[in-house]
Amino acid sequence: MADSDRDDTTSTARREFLQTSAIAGAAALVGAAGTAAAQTAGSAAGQSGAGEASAAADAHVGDVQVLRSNERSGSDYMVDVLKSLDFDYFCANPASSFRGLHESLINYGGNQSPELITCCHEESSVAMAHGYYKASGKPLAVMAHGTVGLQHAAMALYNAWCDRVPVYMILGNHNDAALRRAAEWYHGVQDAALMVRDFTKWDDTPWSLTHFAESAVRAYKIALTPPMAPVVLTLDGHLQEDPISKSEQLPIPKLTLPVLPQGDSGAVEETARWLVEAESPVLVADRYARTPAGMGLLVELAEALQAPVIDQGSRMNFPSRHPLNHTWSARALVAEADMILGLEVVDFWSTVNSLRDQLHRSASRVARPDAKLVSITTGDLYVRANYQDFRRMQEVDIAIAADAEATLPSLIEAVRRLISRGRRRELEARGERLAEAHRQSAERFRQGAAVAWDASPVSTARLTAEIGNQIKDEDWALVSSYYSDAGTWPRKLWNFDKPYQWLGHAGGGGIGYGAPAAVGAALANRDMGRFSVAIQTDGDLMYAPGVLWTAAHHRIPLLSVMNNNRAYHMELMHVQRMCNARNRGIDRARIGSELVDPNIDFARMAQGLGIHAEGPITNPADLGPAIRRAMAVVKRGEPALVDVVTQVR
Amino acid sequence: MRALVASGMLVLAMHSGPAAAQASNDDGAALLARSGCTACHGADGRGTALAPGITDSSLDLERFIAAVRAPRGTMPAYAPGVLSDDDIETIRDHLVAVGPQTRPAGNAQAGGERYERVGCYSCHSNQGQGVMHGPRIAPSPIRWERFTWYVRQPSGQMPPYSEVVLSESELSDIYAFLESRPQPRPVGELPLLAP
Ligand code: HEC
Ligand code: HEC
Repeated sequence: MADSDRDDTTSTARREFLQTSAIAGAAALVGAAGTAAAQTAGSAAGQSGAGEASAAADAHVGDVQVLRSNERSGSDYMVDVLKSLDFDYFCANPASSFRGLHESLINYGGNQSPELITCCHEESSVAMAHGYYKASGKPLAVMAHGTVGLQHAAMALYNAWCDRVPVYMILGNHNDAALRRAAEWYHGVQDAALMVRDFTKWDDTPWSLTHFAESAVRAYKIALTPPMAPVVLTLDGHLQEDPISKSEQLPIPKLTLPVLPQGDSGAVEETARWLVEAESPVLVADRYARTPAGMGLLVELAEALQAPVIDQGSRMNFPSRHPLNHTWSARALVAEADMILGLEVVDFWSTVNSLRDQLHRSASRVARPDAKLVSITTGDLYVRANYQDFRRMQEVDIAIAADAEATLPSLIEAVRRLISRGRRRELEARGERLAEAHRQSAERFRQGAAVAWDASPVSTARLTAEIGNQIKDEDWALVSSYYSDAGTWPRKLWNFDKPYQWLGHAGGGGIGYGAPAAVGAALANRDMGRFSVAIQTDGDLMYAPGVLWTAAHHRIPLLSVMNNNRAYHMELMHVQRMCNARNRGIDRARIGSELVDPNIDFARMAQGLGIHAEGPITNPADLGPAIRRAMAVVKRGEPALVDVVTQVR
Repeated sequence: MRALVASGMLVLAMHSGPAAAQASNDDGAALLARSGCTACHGADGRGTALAPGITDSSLDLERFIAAVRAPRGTMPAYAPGVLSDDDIETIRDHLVAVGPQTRPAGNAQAGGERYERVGCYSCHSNQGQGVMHGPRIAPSPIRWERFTWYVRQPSGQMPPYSEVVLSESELSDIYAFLESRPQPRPVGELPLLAP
């Protein structure tokens, strides 16, 4: 390419290059030649080659600068391919490097399936896709500049990576330095995906449209194959913008998602035997429930064994009020257990050990030394270096490298087969003990929630109970409660019994996930007729509050009730810890972590972004009526926010 | 300093069990020392860095015996063959007679401010109701002897508060604040918390 032209004909020559360099698609692509001569001739066959450059050179003055009727743009074809992948939405903050694709989406694609969602920050775009996937099981595509856009998007991609959520990232970039407009130099990059390669599963920079089509379908397949993760496609600006002949029949590869790996039958049989023989087995689930069927399967396994379940909460793994849900007694159960089964548990080490975070850190094992440990996770199939999200190494007795949800049917079958009649009676007795313990702890939670009931600032338990009371008759989903005590109170007080009612956490602990993930999930829920509620923290919302405008603009119904404790309290706690350890006084620990002076008026901010908002509410008695008014707005199909000044936790 | 002395005596404590068994007629103070309790709980039983004070009569006999037979944390278990129930009662009678160190008078209002300033609220929440990062410590905090011991040298995730950053009287203010929190209404009176 570099030696072909030194003049204005570069553009044409470059197209030639793109055509001829395509391997499989070379024959199919020749019609993409955008020369005037080729267009006039109405046939592109055999017109590729360096000789074309001179024809274009003759035509470049007063060139017809609109597509001819027999032409379309490369990005139209890209839309054909992307539509075949059935994306509902594309999230993007607009950027010139994908202007070609942007235009094709709204005009050629009719802005339908996918529809473009206007985002005010690339981090919001990605986090919306993150939340959308967890609510719907479908990935969204996100478009961004290959440089500045991706830099904004990076943290949200990292969250999705850690959370094993697919995000389909499309970057615009102008690869050809000879044709870059001024700004495109800042927005141009040799290897756009490099920056996020450590925490994306695959990326490619297609050189031709055929190459694009294959990579587009391949990227989708890779992203959706567990362990799922974000993928990146870098689309050259010229590949998007250059005309191709309409007559060109470019292929659209068929997408076939792989059948997932199930655990080896011998290993599953052995695991089943251990589970049935164990006196105190414990089932631990983290990023386990991959589909709506996951929760039901875990219920079946737990009931067959009458074994307690610890739902670590990255997904909606187990109904909150099931008598075998013993999530909140995790430590005691693990300490007692003689057999622990981890289902897509990312941090098995911390499940069976404890790290004491003091001046001198120390670790100790919580589980019995003789407890048998079995893990089923696709995490064993794919690990990357550099970022340390793989966690500390935990020795286990059987490591089944497979998808846990896909493996559960055979495990359940084996367990049922191995339980004798006598054993069943013993297991039932255990189940009764566990049910009673569950009843008692539910009662304790309710008693605990009553403490500080009338306090101002409002207690988080009261906040939770007020919201729960009003949504309980809706088909509700808690789309985000990130860092609002990790959803502790809702999961203790509300009846979560549908697979979509809880969506887990940010994954990588990157704050700023909550608000956009909630909007993304609410978008999915809107289309499925569900009522979305978020417990929104203040620190999180301050990262990119513009997503509230996105919700207003696209009429995304979402009830956001704030847990506004006016500080980054998690971090404040850490600074305090340092103050304590250094014995220098704790009084100044708030410096650098508080969000006061001035207090942020979230209601006015939200109103300015076009949504119904009330607050700040400090008197718990005002909360119920405010939520009721906001709910009426949400039920009309719009977002609403209630700012509540709360206790720290 | 106290901690060092106490841990030196720990070695003694390990060997003193059988001796204690033969001494069931000794008076409480001697039994306490011979059983090695003093190595951790202090010569007067009012606590050291290693263990809380155990002179408080609110530790009733049943709980006291249970704590000795099936102890928590670093405390060794004493079997009935080593220390009879009667011995334990004798020890307890002696300790209750010694009685806890007097607690400095606490001011609940000052305690509320202190509670926030030194950050107890950030884990135990503003009213001591607790949830995820710390347990509930109000409105009925654990007995004072144990409370001070725990705050000075917590055995879990809680950061330690030395007397340099929180004096005994400031801690007593905090204690008064926690005690003064209103008792929760019965759950049955709160329809929002109906199961
Ligand atoms: C090696 C140190 C050690 C020795 C020796 C020891 N204790 Fe303890 N004891 C502790 C610790 C530490 C605790 C607090 C445990 C916890 O709750 O974490 C404790 C707790 C107790 C408690 C319960 C306090 C409460 O608040 O519930 C009683 C009662 C008690 N000890 C009595 C005794 C008696 C009596 C002896 C001697 C027979 C004794 N201990 C010997 C360390 C020791
Ligand atoms: C960084 C979090 C944190 C802070 C700050 C903190 N605590 Fe704690 N506290 C805990 C945790 C966690 C526990 C449970 C035991 C453990 O892991 O240490 C606890 C336990 C306690 C206990 C023992 C409760 C029991 O039932 O045995 C008392 C008393 C207590 N804290 C009082 C205080 C006071 C008073 C302050 C402020 C001076 C304070 N805490 C500050 C986290 C904290």
